[in-house]
Amino acid sequence: MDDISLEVYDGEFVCFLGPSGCGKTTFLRAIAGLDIQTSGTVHQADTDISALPPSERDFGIVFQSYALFPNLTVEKNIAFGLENQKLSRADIKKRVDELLELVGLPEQEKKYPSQLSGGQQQRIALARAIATSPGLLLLDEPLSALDAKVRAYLRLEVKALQRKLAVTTIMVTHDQEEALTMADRIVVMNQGVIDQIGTPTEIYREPKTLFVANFIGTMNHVNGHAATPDSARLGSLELACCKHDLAPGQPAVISIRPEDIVPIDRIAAPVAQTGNRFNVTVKKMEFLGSFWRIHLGDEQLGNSQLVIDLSVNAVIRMNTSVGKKMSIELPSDRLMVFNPATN
Amino acid sequence: MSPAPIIRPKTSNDDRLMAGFMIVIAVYLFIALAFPLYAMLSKSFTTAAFDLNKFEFQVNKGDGWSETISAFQINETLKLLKPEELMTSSDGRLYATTFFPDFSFRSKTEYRLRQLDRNGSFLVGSTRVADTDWHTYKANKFRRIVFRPSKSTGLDNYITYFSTPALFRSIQNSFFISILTTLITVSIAFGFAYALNRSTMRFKGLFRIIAMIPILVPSLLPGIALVYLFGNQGMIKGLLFGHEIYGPIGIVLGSIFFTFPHALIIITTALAISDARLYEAAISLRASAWKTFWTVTIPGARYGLISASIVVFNLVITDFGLPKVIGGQYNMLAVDIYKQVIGQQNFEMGAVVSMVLLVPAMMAFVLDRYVQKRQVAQLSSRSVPYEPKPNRKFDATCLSYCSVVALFILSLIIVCQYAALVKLWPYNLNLGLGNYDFNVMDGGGWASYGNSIQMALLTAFVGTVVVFSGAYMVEKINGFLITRSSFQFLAMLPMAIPGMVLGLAYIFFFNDPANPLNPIYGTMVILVVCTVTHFYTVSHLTAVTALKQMDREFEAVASSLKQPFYKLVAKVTVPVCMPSILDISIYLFVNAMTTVSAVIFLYSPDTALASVAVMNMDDAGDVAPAAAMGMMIFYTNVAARLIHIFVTRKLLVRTQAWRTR
Repeated sequence: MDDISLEVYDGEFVCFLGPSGCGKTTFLRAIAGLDIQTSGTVHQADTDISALPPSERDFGIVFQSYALFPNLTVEKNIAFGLENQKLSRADIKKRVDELLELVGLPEQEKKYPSQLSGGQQQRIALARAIATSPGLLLLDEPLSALDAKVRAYLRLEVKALQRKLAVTTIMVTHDQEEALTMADRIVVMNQGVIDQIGTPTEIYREPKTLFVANFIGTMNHVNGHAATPDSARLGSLELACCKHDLAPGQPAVISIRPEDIVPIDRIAAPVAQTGNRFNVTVKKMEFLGSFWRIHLGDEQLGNSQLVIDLSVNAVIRMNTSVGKKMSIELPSDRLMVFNPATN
Repeated sequence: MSPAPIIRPKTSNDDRLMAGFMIVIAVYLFIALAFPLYAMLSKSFTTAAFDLNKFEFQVNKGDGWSETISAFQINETLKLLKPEELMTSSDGRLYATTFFPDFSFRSKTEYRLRQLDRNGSFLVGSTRVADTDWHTYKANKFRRIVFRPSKSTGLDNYITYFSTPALFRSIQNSFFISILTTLITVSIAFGFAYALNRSTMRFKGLFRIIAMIPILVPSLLPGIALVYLFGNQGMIKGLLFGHEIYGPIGIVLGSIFFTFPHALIIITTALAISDARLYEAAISLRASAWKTFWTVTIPGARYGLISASIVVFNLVITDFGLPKVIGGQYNMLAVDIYKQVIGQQNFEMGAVVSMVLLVPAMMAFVLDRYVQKRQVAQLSSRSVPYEPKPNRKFDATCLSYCSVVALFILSLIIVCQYAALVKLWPYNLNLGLGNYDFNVMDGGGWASYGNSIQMALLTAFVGTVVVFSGAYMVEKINGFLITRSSFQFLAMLPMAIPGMVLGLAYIFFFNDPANPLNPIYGTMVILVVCTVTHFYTVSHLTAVTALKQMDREFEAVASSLKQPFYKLVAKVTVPVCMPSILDISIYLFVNAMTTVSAVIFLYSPDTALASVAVMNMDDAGDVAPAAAMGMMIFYTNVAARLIHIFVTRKLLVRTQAWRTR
């Protein structure tokens, strides 16, 4: 990790998102005290916990492998952290039942972890982590070991649980869908640095760097040059775009999301090149059930192609087919320009 | 903004406990392994020789004191002692009267003696004189003066060793026997493993059990059986066609017996992991059975064959018990150590032979590690296990083959038991329990049997705790990288150290009065420590393998839940690893009962052991009682094994609920 700073608010659900090796797990472990940082401070609830070992910090953690104790029943697993807290047996039992109810697995206390499904195990691990009512909940890729359907279901469960308990939560994931659906804020990391911190909407619609733009959702890219702070040059085209801070003439990557490209519903006659409108040829069409993914090319784009998703009805209406020409507009407020070095 | 502060992590309670505990274990391994070996290493380079230049005489025959003359000058003039006669061990002694051929203790001559420095000194009777003054003695007292040798460091011991043909020949002999045994045993074991793995013959379970019998007896027991079979009054002496069983033939036959199970285990594992898909491919390419055997089976098992060869070679070349009992005049390295130390009291030479023996043992060890690494890389998760198909003729052949091997093993054991019951072979063939009256014989009596059980139980218990703790430290504790790596290295070392070498090293280290740990010498403690260390490596590897299967993050979870690590160990780690823990303890118990080489130098009259008693009784000619004691060891080990199997099975049944995946 390299010069990272972050502030997490009480009760927030923050996701660390990034590809493998970007440092997100390292960051999480530093917060937990499992791999203490070389320099820098960590504060929790106004206390400096930077040098404290994990046993003196206040957090619960769920690992990718769940790390459930195989020889202990579900009940004993969850109660593991409650043992020498001076609670009576009856109190502990009550708390365990409460937690099992909370995660949606009542009546499972006598089972062993190996007798439960992956999704159930994950929830038990969660129950164990929150048993001691920690101030912070850390989740290290908790859903990665599950198959897609279970994952989709559990996403909602975990989020609902977090909202109910209002416990500050940090989750590490490499799955952007997870981050987008679950997080209040996302921290996008790349090679040890934070690229952007923002709400899911901000991250998606206003990516600050090329890496973030690429990592989240799909993006169309063409290579061009920056012109004025709010325009870019693509071959002979001059396109208005969002504000950027590149110097005039500097190589730039001009990007727009597929859903932002506006197809112009006109009979196939070339239109005048005004603003961000221009003509392209349909190169390839892929049928994906509810929509067509259409690849558009033009000599002005060089080798790059623009991908646009059109609903089946739109395709029928516009009579689109391979080889035909069509016109598109790239709305200037949705056209983004990035420094190629920020990938 | 001020620069980020450098963080010095605070140690938790757990960290301190773990660190302290790690220091204890590390200290144990240093004391039990590193220091003794170093003591032995330095001993082998210590030469002792009489330095005649240091001693000066003056004689008074009645008419005044003569001129000062040194012992060296006298020797030069009179040519009394050759240079090689001046080389000796640190306990060597030279009488001062040697330099006065016309000495008579009744004469009135007076003698004066002084030494020129304090390194060495001389003794008057048993009083040591260390100063450099002149001393005057009457003839009567002068005859009691002995010189002590001076110690220096050098390669002289090694030079002496390599220029003594008798000693040097042992190297040749040891290598010859080891290589021959390796070739034979690995071939036989391969056939046996092949039959077990690739046929559908019956009685496989029984054959497996019989194959493991040699592990439960001391290595010298087959020697006794062989003497009864082929010795001068042997039952089937004729089969040898006039050759002697004492010597290479006996050693090889006995070695095949006791190394067979080790080779079998390794080769069976190698054959079991072979991939069925390769055989299917061979069939579809119409390869003949013979061709398939040489192009698929053998190469697939090659690492197992190599590893088994290395292990057998190592076991034979470092074995002491068998060559002692049945070796006759055929010198082998391990027995040489024994002869030098016990027979000649020449500890330095014993150390040298130990260093020589370490070389093949170390090489074998390094080679084996290398092969193991390559073997693991061979496994693929997509391999399909091989399922043999029934084939009447093949199965029948396998059955006969295995029966012959099993017969060989069983016959040696049965002969031993028969020998134990026969009153006086070959004259009185009545059976009786007379030979079991150990107390009337030399060797330690029934007390030695009790001692062995006590030592074996202590070794099993203490050893398992130490080994498991050490393995936990290596696997589960974070940080302390240097300590953990050196510990891992030290834990692997015992496998490369022959038992005799370890025992001798222990004498050098613990028998030194300057050593604060000296009191444990001669007690049960040193026997337990030595045996645990001798068999450390395999136990350690078993424990490490078991611990590796525990989730890496258990400790982190316990930490986050504010539970101390020892609670995790007690409630989770130990119960989950219990089968391996039981395996380690039975391994230590059985080996402690049968080991001879490590303890032969360290036992005392109070701590005589059964395995040593077997050897001593055999030495004394009480061969039948030796066989009887050997069989007692066997039965004890069988009982222990049965208990182990029973306990393990019960444990697995009880914990079935969570062990099933």
